[in-house]
Amino acid sequence: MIEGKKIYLSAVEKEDLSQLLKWRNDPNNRRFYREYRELNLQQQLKWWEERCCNDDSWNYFTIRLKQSEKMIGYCGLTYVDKINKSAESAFEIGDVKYRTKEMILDVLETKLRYGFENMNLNRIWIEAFNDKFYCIDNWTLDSYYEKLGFKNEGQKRDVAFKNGRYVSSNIYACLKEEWEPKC
Amino acid sequence: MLIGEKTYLTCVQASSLEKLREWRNNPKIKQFMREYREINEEMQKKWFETSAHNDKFQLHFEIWTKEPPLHTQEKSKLIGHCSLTKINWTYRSAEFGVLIGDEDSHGQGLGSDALNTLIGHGFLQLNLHKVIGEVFSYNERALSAFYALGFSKECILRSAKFFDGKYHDVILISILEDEWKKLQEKK
Repeated sequence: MIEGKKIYLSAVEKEDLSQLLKWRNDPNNRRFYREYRELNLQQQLKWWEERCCNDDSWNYFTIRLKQSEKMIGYCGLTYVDKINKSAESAFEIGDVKYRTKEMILDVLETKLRYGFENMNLNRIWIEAFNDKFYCIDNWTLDSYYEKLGFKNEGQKRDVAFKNGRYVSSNIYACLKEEWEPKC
Repeated sequence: MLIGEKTYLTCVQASSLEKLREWRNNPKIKQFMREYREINEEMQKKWFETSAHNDKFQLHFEIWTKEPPLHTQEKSKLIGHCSLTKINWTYRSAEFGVLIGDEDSHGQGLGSDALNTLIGHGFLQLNLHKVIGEVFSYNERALSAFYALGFSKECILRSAKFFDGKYHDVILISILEDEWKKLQEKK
């Protein structure tokens, strides 16, 4: 278990997969993913066997509430590059009730701490499509990333095709030397 | 065969594998590549059988000179390798790679010519929308050649490459189909 303030992260279990699949296939979520396919449980199982059980280039966690152990989403430190000491950070708070500023910061901070202090990473990066998805209290994704010490490194143009048009994404990264625990 | 102005591209032949491997293992070239391992004959053969010919997400080519190099008796010469990899057929994008291994062929615009032919193939035949490149910040000569071909800088990935005891930035560059087509009309 990796402890945050109100949440904790734990390894993905087989019985979590059907809930993850629902979140993955939700069109409201998928428009912000690179994946465009509708996934079935077999594909999800294969993903779990390959990435969650076998290969440490991928670290996936479920996000659970400390109080009730309820699963509210999942996240990962993925594309781990052992020589360049970098990884991508991705998260989804699937249960929209918990998609709050506080929860998002809690998840991101917990993951950053684990990445820098335990996985010994030097660089953690995020790719985010340009959107207002997590716009809560006038906070866009940019606000979270900047608050946590991420810097915008540029824009990937026309990186995916969603709902009839090309969309771009921004790359954010935080280096170990820039990171300081916020709590 | 894809024909450029100064070079032409052919598919990778078994008879060229050792030459390509020699270049890939040459430290002067390898410093600009993502692969960090030394490549043995077996790995090269496996690459040939899988990645080079049997993967719909990548295309690999040999680069040959069209004209005999100045002051030599030779006809045409194998000088390097180029590729479109990570082809995303849904989003219509691919990443390019290019290397000129033959040192006598440097500084004559042969790599740029081959790359322009390769990109043209991507846009005009494969119906791609975008071609991207990842370049280490210390590969300044290549970067300026890529900008001259019409690529733009998209992102500077800070400290994303560890080489020779230090972290270096990685520069992401790209060109879109419309941008490339406009540049060809001007020529």
